[in-house]
Amino acid sequence: MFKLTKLVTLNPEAGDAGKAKVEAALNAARKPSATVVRSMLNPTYPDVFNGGDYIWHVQFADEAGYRAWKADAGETLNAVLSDASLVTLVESAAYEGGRVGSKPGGLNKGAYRTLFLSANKAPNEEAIKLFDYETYEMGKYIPTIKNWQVSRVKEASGSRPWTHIWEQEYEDISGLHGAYMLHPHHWGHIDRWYDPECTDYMIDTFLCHTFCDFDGSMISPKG
Amino acid sequence: MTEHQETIFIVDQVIPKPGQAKAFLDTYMARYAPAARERGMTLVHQWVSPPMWLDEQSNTLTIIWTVQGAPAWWNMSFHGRRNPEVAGFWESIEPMIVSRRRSFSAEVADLESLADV
Repeated sequence: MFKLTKLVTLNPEAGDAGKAKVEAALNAARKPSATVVRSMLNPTYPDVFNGGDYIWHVQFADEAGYRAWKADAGETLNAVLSDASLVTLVESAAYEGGRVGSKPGGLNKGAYRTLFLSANKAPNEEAIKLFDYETYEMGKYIPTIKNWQVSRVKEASGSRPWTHIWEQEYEDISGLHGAYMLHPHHWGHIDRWYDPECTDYMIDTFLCHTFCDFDGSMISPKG
Repeated sequence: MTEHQETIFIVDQVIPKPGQAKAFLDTYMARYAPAARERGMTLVHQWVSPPMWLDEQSNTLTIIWTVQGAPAWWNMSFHGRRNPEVAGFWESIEPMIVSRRRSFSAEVADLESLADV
């Protein structure tokens, strides 16, 4: 599955009419079609960090589907998103879905979280491979993560040259704010890649940490 | 569910350049330690190995801090990342050292409650 995620920040001056125009464009661009397999558009929670006002997420069967969409519906969408009177910022990442995991139970509704990060200080590919592995392992150790996927980005735009997308799904948002943050695999192990005080530090401290409700998994295999 | 009061050890193991261990430790205590205390870190050990200052070889320094529980760890880390002087300190001492490593540890008796999230 090839995926495209955009974090869209509205211009506060756009007003209700502007907001409606942006939402209409986002919805039109994610309609099921010959290329769009499944999608989601949801407002973000208020306490996101560099997370935008909306998470817009679309999936394609493969990269060729994404390229075809980009040349057609993608152009129409970008015309709206590049109108500064409507939208002030779009963080965008296109990526082949990476290593994916799910716990039994088939969670299909709850809270979706995605992290945009840039491993732009990585010393070598070996370090990135270890980071990929350890990020995937978080889903195995942290009980509230029900579906998870870590992916490397192919095309990025916005505030940083995004290199990775780290997606998780929880039964509710407390699973992110509680167990995810408090589990020792997070602060005692993997956070060293993000911590400028640690010698393994390689992730830009500017991150997009954002989350929304979801109804229909964007991570587990499409049924 | 845990009360998040487990002792978490923040361990800096540093190998200064030969003959520079005492100068490095003095610099660390003067320039790093005060702000570390302000963000909730408690200094518990300053170990020197071998237990004498070497003139022409490297000592190994093990400096151990604690915080109580994961929320306190995040508070410590959050304020460190927001303070450019912290990253600046670590960059500035690079010429004095051969290598360093920071790690995080806990007593084995606390592992179960730490993972009870």
